[in-house]
Amino acid sequence: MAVIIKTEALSKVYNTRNKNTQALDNLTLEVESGCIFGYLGPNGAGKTTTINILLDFIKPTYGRAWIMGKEIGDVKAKEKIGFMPENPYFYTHLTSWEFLDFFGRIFHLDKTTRRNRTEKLLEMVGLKKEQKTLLKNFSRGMLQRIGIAQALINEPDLVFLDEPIASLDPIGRREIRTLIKKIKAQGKTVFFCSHILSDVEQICDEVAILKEGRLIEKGPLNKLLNVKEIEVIAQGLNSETLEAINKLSKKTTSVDGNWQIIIEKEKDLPSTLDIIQKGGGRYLSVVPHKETLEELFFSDIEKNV
Amino acid sequence: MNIWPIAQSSFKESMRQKILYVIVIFSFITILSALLYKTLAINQEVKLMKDVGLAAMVVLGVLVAIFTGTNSISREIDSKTIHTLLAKPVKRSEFVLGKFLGAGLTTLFNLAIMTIGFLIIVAIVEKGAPFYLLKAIVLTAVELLILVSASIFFSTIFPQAISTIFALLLFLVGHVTNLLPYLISKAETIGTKIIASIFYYLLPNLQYFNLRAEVVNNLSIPVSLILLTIIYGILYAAIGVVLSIFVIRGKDFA
Ligand SMILES: Nc1ncnc2c1ncn2[C@@H]1O[C@H](COP(=O)(O)OP(=O)(O)OP(=O)(O)O)[C@@H](O)[C@H]1O
Ligand SMILES: [Mg+2]
Repeated sequence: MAVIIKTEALSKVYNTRNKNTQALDNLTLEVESGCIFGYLGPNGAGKTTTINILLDFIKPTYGRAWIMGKEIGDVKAKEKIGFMPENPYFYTHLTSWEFLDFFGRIFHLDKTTRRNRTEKLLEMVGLKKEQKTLLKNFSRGMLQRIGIAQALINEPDLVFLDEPIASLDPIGRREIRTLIKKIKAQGKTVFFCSHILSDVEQICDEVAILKEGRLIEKGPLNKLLNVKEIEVIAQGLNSETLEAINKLSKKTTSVDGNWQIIIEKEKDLPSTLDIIQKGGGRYLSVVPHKETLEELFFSDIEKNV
Repeated sequence: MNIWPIAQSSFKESMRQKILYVIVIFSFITILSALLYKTLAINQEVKLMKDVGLAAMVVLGVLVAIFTGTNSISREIDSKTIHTLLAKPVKRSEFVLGKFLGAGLTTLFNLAIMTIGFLIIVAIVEKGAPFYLLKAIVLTAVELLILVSASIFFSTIFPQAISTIFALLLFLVGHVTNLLPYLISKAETIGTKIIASIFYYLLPNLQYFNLRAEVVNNLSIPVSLILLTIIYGILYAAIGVVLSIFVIRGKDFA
């Protein structure tokens, strides 16, 4: 897979009147194309700063970065980029239709294409009925929806979404999750900043965790999340077998006439299954339980105090 | 090039801002009050009315120019709408040019409305088409463009309130630069001399754009003078825009 975003020792220091903030510290990162990349970190970790640099809103104090092989600052790369800002502040004097049409013109789309895409996008984010409403009369969640729509007007290959679902209702959140997966299914890359770890866990392929401007974790979600425990459901265990199993397991309980055996270490699994079979029982299922992203997040953050 | 859509959107924004309507209405009242002069002073010439009307258009035009100029870029930065725009393939220079064009159009549109109203009133009073007044108004238009450009430039560096004050000062000082050589010769401290000289050589002489007395008194004005003044004005406006592009290019929009 090709690398679509690459940063090299990216650093940013903000100099304000009373202090200097190191918002990014030597960030070296690669994002593969075609994935949903979850960019995580506590408030003030430097997520928005990273996006601001990648989109050339601010200059890095040190380091370099490339998007689709073009060094940042090259306006051409933006032809194929979509961006939804953290705070959905948009032109309040335009209606949602005019707003999308305006950006369509910025991308030099012809009239028919603009009309088709505007219609399709408004439908997709559920704002069809509001097409003639001025954005100044939009609720925050509606602004986030139109923000997502404008990010897709140019059918981008890479979409930056900075906290795209924070103000959405549960229905909206599910819709947007589905939408993000749909974008990925079209072979596109999504760079997704969020605090809502359950959302990230549901849709992201790859995550990076940032803390105080430093990268503290990065990798595919399924490799990062360790197996926490394994649940074995078994039948027909006599007391002798149970006793042997109890030595290996963390917990054994009877559930609806079956036995639920929880083991913590993966290496104990073969011997457990062996004991069950030798004792004349049989096992119905083996289910590994992974730690949640939330657990990983907290253990990483605490490790790096 | 993305200048035109940005300009149009800015223009639309101004048109949807109520403040401009207030100014337009106020303008009409002022121009109409010029008519009042005519009726009050029965023996007075129509001249006074034209004087007052043209002067009112300059003052109101300047207010609109400075308001839209200082507002156009600073509003975009303060409200962070600039992020969504710069994430698209828009060069910073295109952004500044679009914003200048939008604010310029707003200002000229406003002047055009005042002009139409004014010309109709004069036409009624004089019972003839007063197109000769356009000579003065065209130069006012160019002067307003200088002020738009300067206001934009100030607003790339200072907050809007301060930019407004600077732009107003530019307007006032620009009309008295003729006096500066005298001030330089009479200045007591070297500091005053230097500052007055800088102002004299750097600031545009806005008095060049004031042909109102000549026009109202029907004096002949060579076309070449008008053309030269227009070029002079456009040059100054262009300097303001180029400087703004320079500042905006180096800016962080966090
Ligand atoms: N314009 C600025 N001037 C000074 N400091 C800034 C500026 N923008 C951000 N910072 C600082 O940089 C650090 C990183 O901020 P950033 O906005 O990138 O965090 P974030 O990870 O996006 O946080 P959040 O989850 O709250 O959005 C913070 O300490 C913040 O105070
Ligand atoms: Mg942020």
